[in-house]
Amino acid sequence: MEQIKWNDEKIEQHLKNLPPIKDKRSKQELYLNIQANVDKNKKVNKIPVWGLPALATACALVLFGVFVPDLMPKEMQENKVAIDVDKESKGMDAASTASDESVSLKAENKVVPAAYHSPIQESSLDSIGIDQDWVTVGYLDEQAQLVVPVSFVTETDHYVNKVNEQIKKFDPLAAGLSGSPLQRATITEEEETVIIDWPAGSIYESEEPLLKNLIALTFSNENQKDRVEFRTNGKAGYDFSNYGVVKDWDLKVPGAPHYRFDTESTDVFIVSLFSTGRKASDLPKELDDALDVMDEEQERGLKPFLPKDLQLEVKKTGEHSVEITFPDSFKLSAENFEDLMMIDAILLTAKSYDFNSVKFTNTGLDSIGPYQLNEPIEGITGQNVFNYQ
Amino acid sequence: MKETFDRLYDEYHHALFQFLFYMVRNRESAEDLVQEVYIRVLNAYENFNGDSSEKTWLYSIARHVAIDWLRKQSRRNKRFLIFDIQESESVLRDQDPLPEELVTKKESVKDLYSMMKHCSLDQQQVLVLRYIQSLSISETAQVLSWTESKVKTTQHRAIKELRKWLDQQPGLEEELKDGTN
Repeated sequence: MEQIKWNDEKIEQHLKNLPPIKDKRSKQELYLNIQANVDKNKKVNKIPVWGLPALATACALVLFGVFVPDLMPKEMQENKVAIDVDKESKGMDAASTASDESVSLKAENKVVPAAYHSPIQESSLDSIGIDQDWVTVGYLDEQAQLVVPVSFVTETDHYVNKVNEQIKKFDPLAAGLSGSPLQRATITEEEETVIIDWPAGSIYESEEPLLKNLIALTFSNENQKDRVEFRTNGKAGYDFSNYGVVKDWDLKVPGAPHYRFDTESTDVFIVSLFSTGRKASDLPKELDDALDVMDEEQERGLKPFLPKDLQLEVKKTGEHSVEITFPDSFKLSAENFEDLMMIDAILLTAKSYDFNSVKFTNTGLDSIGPYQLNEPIEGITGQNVFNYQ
Repeated sequence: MKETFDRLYDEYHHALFQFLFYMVRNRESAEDLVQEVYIRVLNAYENFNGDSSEKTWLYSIARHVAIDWLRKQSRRNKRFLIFDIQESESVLRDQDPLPEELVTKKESVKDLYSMMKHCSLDQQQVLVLRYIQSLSISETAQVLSWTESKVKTTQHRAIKELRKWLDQQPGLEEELKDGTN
């Protein structure tokens, strides 16, 4: 029996004839569910200060500036603190500085950030009623030893368009970063594949060890793209010094512990061990293992956010939710900016292990920075968010 | 808020639910997601400036909600599956039972529904918007923030992809002669 072949018209006709699928709930039932959540969201939106992480960071820095002198040991204040006020605007990052002045407080080798770039909560993107989106681009540090993912709040667009826009717009040198190999590329997309086209000889040998991780952190941080294809002036493949001709790579960002990275410009970023070029097989497989090593200094200038020997108890409460309990011996301080950064780093680490909802317990606080600690914190996204002035 | 909800529900609910169902292929998830769409819409409604039509605005929000869900699902599976993202989504969605509306349909219809999962996410969005939701090329382009040209190209590739998979399915001769129901 000869089998009939499908043709385009038959397929189109069948598609049009797929049956309608109806919601079985009543209008009233649906409305009651929605009403409860809309009211809840509106209530949250009434919190005036922390609507946007940008504003949150600015306010936190103001608070920090006020409290730091009181928190520091007296002799440190008298003998070792130098306060530099640089009135030259950096021309960027309204969120991360409390005013047009960038302020850095130097106490011996410990530098308080002039610009700390917090993550963002998905809910804040929707909170002002404008359709906002975000994008992350990987940049190299000055020594080209580390990938620093920098996120930007954008208008809604295709992911690759957003990457291209920010690559043109953002000046990495102003944040103490050296740039990105993507700045020299023509970037397009086809379905779930990103296509990177470089002129021959565009990639320095020193950039190659971090290149795969940089591309993954840019294009696959939320599984936007799962594959990169390389081209050289339109022809398939790119000839790398270390790898030879490569046509494509699969992209994935694994779970990894997060650390503090300070640039010469005193910008502070949160980066993961994956940013050092490590492979997934060299990273902790579980969240509790990752948290265990987050109190240790790491290679390439990565510093811990967690105090030494802080033992956090991790309890998985759902497929994507986790409860993290602080020990009785440790209490968070709402006035301590380092504690807020520690919470950010834990949230980003948890998210990298696919926990989108994190409930902190035994913190001794109801809230810190933009986070209400008496309820699960959800929807952390973006990393090291920059907001332009 | 109730008045706005009533109007949106009466005009768009069936279409939005159907769009979400065919994107995520799971009734319970579509129910959750359509709620999420209303919550986002009602929270932002006062600021809707009318740059796009209300209809394409709603679809655009529904599309973002669906894509967020699909990404979360693929992240959920990535630690357990060695497949790539599309494959893991397919595996996940294969586990969902056919909705009763489809169970009674002919094998050709069920095959078509089943083969749609082999299309890329972009292709699936276009198939659902263009054929199941009957949106025009222009409306589809607005919802997806694409050019009309890209919609046409993706639609063409999607049909080609579907045809490739459907041609591998045996035993449809009689049904096709009978019609499509």
